[in-house]
Amino acid sequence: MPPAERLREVMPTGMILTSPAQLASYESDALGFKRFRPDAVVIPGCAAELIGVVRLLKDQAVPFTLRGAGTSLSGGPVAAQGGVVVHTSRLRRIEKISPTEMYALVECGVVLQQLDQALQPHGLYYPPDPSSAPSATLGGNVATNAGGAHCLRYGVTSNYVLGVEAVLLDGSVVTFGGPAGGRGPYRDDWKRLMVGSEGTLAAFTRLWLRLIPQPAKVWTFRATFLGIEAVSAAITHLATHVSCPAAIELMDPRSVAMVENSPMAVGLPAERFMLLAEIDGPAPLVDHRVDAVAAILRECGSDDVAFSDEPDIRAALWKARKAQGGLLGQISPDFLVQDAVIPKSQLAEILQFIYDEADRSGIPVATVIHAGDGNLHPNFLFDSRRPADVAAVEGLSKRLMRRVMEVGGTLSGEHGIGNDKAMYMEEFVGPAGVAMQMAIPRAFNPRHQLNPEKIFPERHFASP
Amino acid sequence: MVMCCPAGTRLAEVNALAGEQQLRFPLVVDPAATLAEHLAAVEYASASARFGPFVDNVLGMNWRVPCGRLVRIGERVIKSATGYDLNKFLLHSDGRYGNAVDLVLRLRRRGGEAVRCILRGAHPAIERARISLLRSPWIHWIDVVDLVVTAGEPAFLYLAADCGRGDVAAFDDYFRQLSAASGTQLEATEALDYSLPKLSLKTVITAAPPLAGELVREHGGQARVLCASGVVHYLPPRNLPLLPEPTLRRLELQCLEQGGHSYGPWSPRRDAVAQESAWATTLESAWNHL
Ligand SMILES: Cc1cc2nc3c(=O)[nH]c(=O)nc-3n(C[C@H](O)[C@H](O)[C@H](O)COP(=O)(O)OP(=O)(O)OC[C@H]3O[C@@H](n4cnc5c(N)ncnc54)[C@H](O)[C@@H]3O)c2cc1C
Repeated sequence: MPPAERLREVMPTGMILTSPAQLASYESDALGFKRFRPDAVVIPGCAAELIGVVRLLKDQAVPFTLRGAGTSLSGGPVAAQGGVVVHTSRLRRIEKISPTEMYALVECGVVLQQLDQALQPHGLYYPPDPSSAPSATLGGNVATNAGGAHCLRYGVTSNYVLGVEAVLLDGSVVTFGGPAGGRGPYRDDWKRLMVGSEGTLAAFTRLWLRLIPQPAKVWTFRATFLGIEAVSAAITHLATHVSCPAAIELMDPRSVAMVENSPMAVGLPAERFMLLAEIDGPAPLVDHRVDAVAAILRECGSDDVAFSDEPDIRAALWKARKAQGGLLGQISPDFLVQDAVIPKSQLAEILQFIYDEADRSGIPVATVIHAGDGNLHPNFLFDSRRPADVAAVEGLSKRLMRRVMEVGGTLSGEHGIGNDKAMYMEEFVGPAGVAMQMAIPRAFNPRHQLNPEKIFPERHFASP
Repeated sequence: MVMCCPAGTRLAEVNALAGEQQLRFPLVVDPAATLAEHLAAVEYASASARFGPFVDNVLGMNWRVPCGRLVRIGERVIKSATGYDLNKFLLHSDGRYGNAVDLVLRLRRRGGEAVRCILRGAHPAIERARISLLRSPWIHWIDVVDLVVTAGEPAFLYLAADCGRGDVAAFDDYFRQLSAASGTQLEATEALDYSLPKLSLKTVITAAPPLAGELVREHGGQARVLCASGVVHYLPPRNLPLLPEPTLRRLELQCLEQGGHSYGPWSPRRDAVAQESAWATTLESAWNHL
C-alpha cells in the first residue's frame, strides 16, 4: 500500500497532501533553485500524531524529512530522495513560560516571533534572532542551530536549548535534558548532538528553552565608511570595546547600492560600507558609553555617524539592513547565500576574494556580514534556468569554501550544511572527521531514512 | 579573541597570557588547576552567569580517541553550524571516548576593574536580592552571582563584575540599591578563594539553593550555588572522605527529575541505560577504529 494510504490510518482527512499543486510548494526551501518533489506531505496536529506518523513511515521504509517553515537556506527540509515531508506547522502550542525558572516549553512548530511576543509581557527574552523570525519555527531553529544579528553578545540557539523531546526511528519518545538543561537520566549529553542535527537524527516534538531578562535599554548606531580597511578597524575596535556590542552588522557597497536603487532607499551614500552596531544594558551603564562608541566610528573614518535609543529612529537606522534580504528576490530570479565564518582579521582579504571571483564569473554579488562574529553572507544572484549561471555559482561557492578553509574558517555559521554544502564536508573535516561524524547518524538513523543526503552526501537511504 | 593551549595549562597561565592582550578566559574555579582538571570536575564556573558553561566557551579541540589517533574537533572561529556538534558532546564525556589534548578557548575582553561585594542578611532578604538580580537586566553584566552556604555560618550572596573604569560607579550604585531594596547589608570584599568541588549538581534555578542548604546542613563543608546557572558546587569538610552512596544517588535523582544531573569526582557512577548503551557502543566502535 502506498505510504499516503497507510498514513490515512493515523491521520485525519485533509492533513495528507498528494496532489501535484499541493506538493509543488514543498519542492524546495528558501534556497529555491534546487527542487525535489516529495511523494506526499503529512501535517500532524499534535505530538501523538507526529509520533504515529514517524512509527508508520519507519515501518513503511520510505525516506522522510521534517519541515518547519521551510525557510532553510541550505537545502535542508527537502525530499532529496523523494518520500514524505512531515510538516510541523500545526504543532504550535507554547505549553509553558516559567518566569521563576526562566524557561519556556514549546512545541516544535511554534514560530519564533510567536514566542517573542508571548515573552514580552513577562519581561523575558529569548535571544536567537534569525531574520526569518516571523515565519521560522523553533524546531527548525534548533535543528539548524540558528543565529542572528544579536548572537554576537547573547549566543546562538545551542546556548539556549535546555531540553529536547524527540521521536527516534525505533519509535521511542525520549527526553534529552529538560527544564534544568542537564543530561536527565542519560549518562552522556545527547542533547548536544540533537541541536544542529538538521533533522537527520530524530523528529523533535517539544523543546525546553532558556530565557533571560530583556535588556533594559538599547542604542543603535549607523555609520558609513569609504574603504574596507576603515570599516575593519571600526569592527575590531567595537568588538573589543567595554560596551560588548550586542550586534555589529555590515553591508558592503554593492548591498548598499542595491537598497539605494530601490523603493526602499534610505539616503545612504552610494559606494560605501554601512555598519550597524547595537549596545544594550541598564541605562546607567549603557547611556554613558554612547559617546565612546560614536567616537570609535568617527575616529575610524565615518563622517555620518547616526545613533538613537528611540524605537522609531532605531527602526529607521536598521531599515536598509532589513530591506536587503527581500530585495534579492525582487531583482534576481534566484540567489544563493553562503554562510561561512572566518577570523575577523581576514575580512578584507576574503571580501576582495569574493569580488574578484564573482566579477570574473560574471555573477553579481551583494554581501551582508554578521561582522562581530565573522559570519559572511555573500548573496550570489543568478538565473537557474541558465545552466552556465548554475555552473558559475557552484564554481564560485567551491572556490570560496576552499579559501575559507585555508584561512581557518568554517563552512556554515548558522544556516547548516543541508544538501547545498554537503559536498565540502569531507574536505573540511578530513577522513577521520568524516568517520567520527558519520558514527552519529549510524547510532540514531543507521539507514539514513530520516532526511537522507543532508550534511554528508554519502548519507543515502537504501530500502531493505 | 581565541587562544589555543594544551589541556594541561593552568588557568592562571591562560589568563596571564590573555591578559597581555587585555583579554581573559573568565571561567575559572581554581586558577592553580589546569583546564583538564576543570573539565573533569565542573561544567560551570561562577562566570557562567554571564558567559555560559565551559561547552559554550571551548570552540574546538584536538581530541585523542582511545585508539590513539588525534582528530580535530570543532572550530577556531566563534560560531558554527557545520556538522554534528561533537565538540560539546565530547568535552565532559569523562574519558569515555578519549581526551582533549589541546583546546581552543573563546576569550573575552578584560574590563580592567573589578567590583565585588557580599550581601548578608536573613534568609528572606538574601532570597529577595537573589531573585531580584536574576530577573534584572544587570544580570547580563555581572560575572558572579554565587550564594555561599557554609556549615555553621549564615549564607551570603557574593557578587562580582569585571568592568571598565567608567562603569565602576554604576555597579557600586546598583549593588547599593539592590542591598537597600532587599534589606541586606552590603560589604566590600576581595575575590573569594575557591577550589574545584568534589560534586556538582545541575538543576533548575529555584531548586539549587535548597539543595545546597540541605547538603551543608547534613554533611557540613561549603556549597556554592551558581545562582544563574542552577548549579551547586559542593566542597566537603576535610574529614569527609566521601558522601554515602545512597545520599549521592538521592541528590542525583532530585536533579534528574528536572532534566539535570550530577557531575564531578564524587558523582555516582552511572551506567548507560539500555537504549543509550546501544548508541554509545556504536560511537565507540566507530571511533576506536579510525
Ligand atoms: C529571509 C530569511 C532570513 C534568514 N535569516 C537567518 C538568520 O538571520 N539566521 C539564521 O540562522 N538563519 C536564517 N535564515 C535561515 C532559516 O530561517 C533558519 O535556518 C531557520 O532555523 C529554519 O527554520 P524553519 O522552521 O524554516 O526550518 P526548515 O527550513 O523547515 O528546516 C530546517 C531544518 O530543520 C529540520 N527540522 C525542522 N523541524 C524539525 C523538527 N521538528 N525536528 C527535527 N528536525 C527539524 C529540517 O529537516 C531541516 O533540516 C533565514 C532564512 C530566510 C528565508
